[in-house]
Amino acid sequence: MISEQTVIDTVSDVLELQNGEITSVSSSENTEKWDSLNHLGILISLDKLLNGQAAKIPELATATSIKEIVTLLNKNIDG
Amino acid sequence: MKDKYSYTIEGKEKIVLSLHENVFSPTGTSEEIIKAVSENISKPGSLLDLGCGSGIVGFALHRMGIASGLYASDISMQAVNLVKKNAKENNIECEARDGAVFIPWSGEKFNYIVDDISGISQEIADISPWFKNTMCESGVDGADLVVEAIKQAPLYLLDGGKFFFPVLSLSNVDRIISSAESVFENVEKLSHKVWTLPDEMKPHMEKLKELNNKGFVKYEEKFGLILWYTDIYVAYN
Repeated sequence: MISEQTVIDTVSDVLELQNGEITSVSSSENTEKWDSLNHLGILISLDKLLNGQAAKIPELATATSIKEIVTLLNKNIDG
Repeated sequence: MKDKYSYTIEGKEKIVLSLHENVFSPTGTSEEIIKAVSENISKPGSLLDLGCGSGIVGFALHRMGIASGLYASDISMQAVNLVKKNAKENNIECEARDGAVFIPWSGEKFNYIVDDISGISQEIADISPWFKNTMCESGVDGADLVVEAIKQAPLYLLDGGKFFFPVLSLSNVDRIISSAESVFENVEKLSHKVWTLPDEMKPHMEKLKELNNKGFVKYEEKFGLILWYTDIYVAYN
């Protein structure tokens, strides 16, 4: 399991945003800095955190909201 | 293609460049170079933008106060003419010359040299969207021109000078790094940026695999995407 807060923290780090600027309802639609390049950065950071397990989930490439990412990760990763 | 490109430096006036279909347009790698170089230089000095294209790298570093004297060159006369036009339009003083690698700068030395000469496998360039109307003569492993620039660079650096260069994984990374290590005492990686392969290149995966097997390119398959990278290095003695 990965917590929603861990995903929020990772996205905040990659987008260089302050605590509270990314929340459970954040997505690329409502977050200006969440563009396609930064989305790739988010995926790579999550993959490092999960020891390569995220890289095996192709649906993450188009999952551009906190909710979608958390759901996909928890559906596909071990532990 | 777009005919204008704009680059914003925080707290400074925006740089707006005219583009030309026969001149290499700024890419994410150009922006990575600007970021890495600006974070590594603390003292302004003379700066040569080698393989300047439309001029964005040198112009941005000049506007940031890093390039106190700005010099630029490109093998393409059209690029040099475009740089002169863009410099005038942005009120930037820049001496621009045409010629391959260091040929236009014989006998001259600089504090900083930023190499943005195209460095990807020629076979990749042929199937990529980046070199539709521009030259890429970097050889089958993409390293020929970059290695040539690296080998000559010490002759054109002032004491304490630094040479910045991008290494794209769509070229022979190992050959480029080992050539830098053979002519410079210090070679340091400043940044690493991962990109996705453009869609129009996906039908050519067999070619990519063949070049990967030969060690000419490196890529990874993750998240259902094909990923490659740009590293920015600094070398100095």
